Amino acid sequence: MSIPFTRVISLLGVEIGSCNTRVVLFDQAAGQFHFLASSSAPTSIIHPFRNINDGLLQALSGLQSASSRSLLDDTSHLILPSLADGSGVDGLVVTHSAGKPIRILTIGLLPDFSAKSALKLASAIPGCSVSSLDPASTPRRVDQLDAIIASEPEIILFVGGTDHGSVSAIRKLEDVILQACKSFPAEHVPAIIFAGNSILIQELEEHFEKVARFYPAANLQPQINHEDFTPALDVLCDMVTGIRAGQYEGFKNLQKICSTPPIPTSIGFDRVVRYLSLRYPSVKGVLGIDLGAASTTLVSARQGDSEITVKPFGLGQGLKSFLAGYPVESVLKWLVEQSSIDAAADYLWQKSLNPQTVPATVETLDIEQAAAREIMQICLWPHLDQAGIPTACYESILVSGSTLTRTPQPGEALMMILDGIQPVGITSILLDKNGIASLLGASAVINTLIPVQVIDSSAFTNLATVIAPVAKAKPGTPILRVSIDYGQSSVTHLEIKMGSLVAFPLPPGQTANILMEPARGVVIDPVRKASGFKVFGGLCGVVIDARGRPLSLPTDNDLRRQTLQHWASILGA
Amino acid sequence: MVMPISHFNQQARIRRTRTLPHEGEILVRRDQKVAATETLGNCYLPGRHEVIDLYQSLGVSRKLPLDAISDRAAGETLQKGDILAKTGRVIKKIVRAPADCYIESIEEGKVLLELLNPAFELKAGMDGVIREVNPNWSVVVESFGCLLQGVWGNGQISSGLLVNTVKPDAGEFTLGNVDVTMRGAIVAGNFCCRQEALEAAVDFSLRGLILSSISSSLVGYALKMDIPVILLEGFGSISMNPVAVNLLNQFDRHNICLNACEWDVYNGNRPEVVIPLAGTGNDPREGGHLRQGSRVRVKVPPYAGAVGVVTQIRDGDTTIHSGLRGKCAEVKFDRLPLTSFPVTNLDIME
Repeated sequence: MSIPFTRVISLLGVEIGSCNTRVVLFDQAAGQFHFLASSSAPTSIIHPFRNINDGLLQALSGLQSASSRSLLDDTSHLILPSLADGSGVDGLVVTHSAGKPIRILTIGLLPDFSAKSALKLASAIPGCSVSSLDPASTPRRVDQLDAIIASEPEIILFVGGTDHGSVSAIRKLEDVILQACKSFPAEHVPAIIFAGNSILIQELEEHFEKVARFYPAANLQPQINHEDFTPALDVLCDMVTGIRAGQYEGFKNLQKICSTPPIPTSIGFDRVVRYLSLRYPSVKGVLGIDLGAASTTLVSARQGDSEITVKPFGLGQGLKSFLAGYPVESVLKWLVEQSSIDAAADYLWQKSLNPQTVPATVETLDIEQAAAREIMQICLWPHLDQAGIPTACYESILVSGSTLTRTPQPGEALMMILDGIQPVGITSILLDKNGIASLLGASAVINTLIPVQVIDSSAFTNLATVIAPVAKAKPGTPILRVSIDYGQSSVTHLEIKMGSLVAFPLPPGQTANILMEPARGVVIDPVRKASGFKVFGGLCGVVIDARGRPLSLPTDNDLRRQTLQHWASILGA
Repeated sequence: MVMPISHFNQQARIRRTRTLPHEGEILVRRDQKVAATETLGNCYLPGRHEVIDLYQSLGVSRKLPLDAISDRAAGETLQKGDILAKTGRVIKKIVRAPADCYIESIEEGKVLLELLNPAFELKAGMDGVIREVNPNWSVVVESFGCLLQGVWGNGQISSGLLVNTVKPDAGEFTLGNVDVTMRGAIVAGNFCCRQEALEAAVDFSLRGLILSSISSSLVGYALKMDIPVILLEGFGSISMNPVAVNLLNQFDRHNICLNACEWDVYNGNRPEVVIPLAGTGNDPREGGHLRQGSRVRVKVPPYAGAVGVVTQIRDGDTTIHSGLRGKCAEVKFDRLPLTSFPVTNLDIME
């Protein structure tokens, strides 16, 4: 039984991740929504369970203990809506990223326009393996046919032509896709999403009628230089969710009782980052990074518009693709102890076989944190390129994913972020410590007040304010004079030298006024021009990262280790 | 907490479903005995395409009606060399099928061919008896015997005589562990860190390797080997777990089957060693609750590969050595001190 969204005062969020199923309870107190409790359990989609129920029930029973609230009835069914005795919840939202990769093939007419847009769209969904066919570089019809067949797609995303634009080129491609669909055995015929020239929708619908499932969407690129992702993204999300529902027992039942249809995790995360970009209305925008087990999601949002990138690299199942594509030596450079260096490659391979394991020793934790830095790096550069941003210059960075948010010391999280993202200028770093970002995004459909009020209630932890000036100076050269006024006549003055990393303690909840005098040629922030401003405290206070961009490590091994140790000690990592 | 179970059973009923990737032909019947390397069924995988312009190839005018040069139609399957088209003159010109192929379409004298790949062959993976047949798709193979499940395989299948070189406290599997007397055998060894040992396995014509672990630097070579390689523990210098050592010792010189498939956690296909034995056995449990008394193996360092018994599952979260917090269980080992591990780092063994 569903209840009107306006009457939802308690909400259960379920995130079905590739490793863990996380359940989160939001509730209203004194008219304000806030985060109440969370719990997680291993996702049970793997053999022999192949369902979502076992993991979900385990997580829910943990949530019952953590929140002291009854959520399940005697038959282990979710109590929905809530009862007069306070048990149960009024609403349910679900996000998902778990499952065997779904193969998506994108086919666009022009490499720099529709094909690029299609690839961008398909790359926004976690748990998908995306490939593309470029008709320009594969002009022969048979080669196009072979390319489609070889990629064995489950979904073909077919785009091209502005509205009322090209027709004949699309028809030629359509012909090849039709031929390919006929070549697949009946049980392997891909679903077709067409998000191209809308004038052709009816014609294509007729042609594909008896060949493949055909889903039209509004044109991804109705005009040159104008992209409209939302309708096609909605169709793609529905299709991916539908495939998942067919794969795992229990998903369809969960779908039936959801207050709003389940969405991929990245879409929920994107909504929250877009909201934050409106909350901090700076042209610098907000970066969201969710480092998961199977994939990493990056969202750059400016004034409500966003770019999403999901890469198949993570610290669980995603290690397999990372190790297949990148040399493990790239991870070793972030390690200090020789024992960690020696063990890193084997440990990461072993972890790829056992993605649910957690690092039990300091040595293995160091290895995972080193891999996290490298994964953030390899995901960030293509994302910045896609978003058209030259450097990681953001107003705020929202960080999610347990490797980054559940470190023994907050300094370890900050160190990974500074090394992995290398933010430029003045940036506040927010931690999604309870792993609720994507669920908040999903809840916005039910009631926009839920994410707004939960975020207002300090759901995200302020990790630090980072100041990373841009300077081309020799190491040791003074580049900045900083004064931090903590109030009550307490002022700290410091000279910052190139290559240094400096931390000022400023606990969460406190503020200070900071004044900076840059040396000639030094830019404190490429966008924000103020040299004096108010800073908010965080777990790691205020950090000035003058190590330079891009960050380069000493080539000498001993010196590199000493440097890494020195930096870690500054942040208490 | 419910977890999957890794099996190291001395005697069990082993039933495995083998499925074709596409609809095809099942070649075996119910109750038929099969060997590990036997083909149970086959199917064609979609092949490469080729277009042949019949008019151009024959050098004749396009004004000529198509049926004057070819009597082929879409849907026909041809063998390499079959005639696609010909001219009817005294000096004949002929266009032949370039390979075994299927005619997808003929339009305006252009024939679109799908070249047929060699048939995909579905292998039994273990000696056994066919218990179920799903026509055109899958079969269920059943065997009784000893089962050891691995964590990684290089995609090959074979069977042969087991020669076990792993003894309790064995060291690294090296070149010295392989010799000419092992030709045609499947050799079980401890961890391997040197490529030369793997090369020797190929040089001495072994039929397969069962290793506890290999250095990750050897993954590339192991994948290229044309004999099956199964890892029971994983990557690094992880010694063979004592339960596996006992079973391999017990069945030394027995005929065994090695299915070194890739571990697919979603459908449950897992690299396995099956030692067919007379007698019967029960179906091993696939999943179970981790509880006090459960026999477990540690999956990652420290103590990776060590086998012990859970003495206590702690309430709530516990801080572990790395500083992280998580649900932990205390495990008692034979030769190691009582140690607490995150439950996610443990593997139930039965």
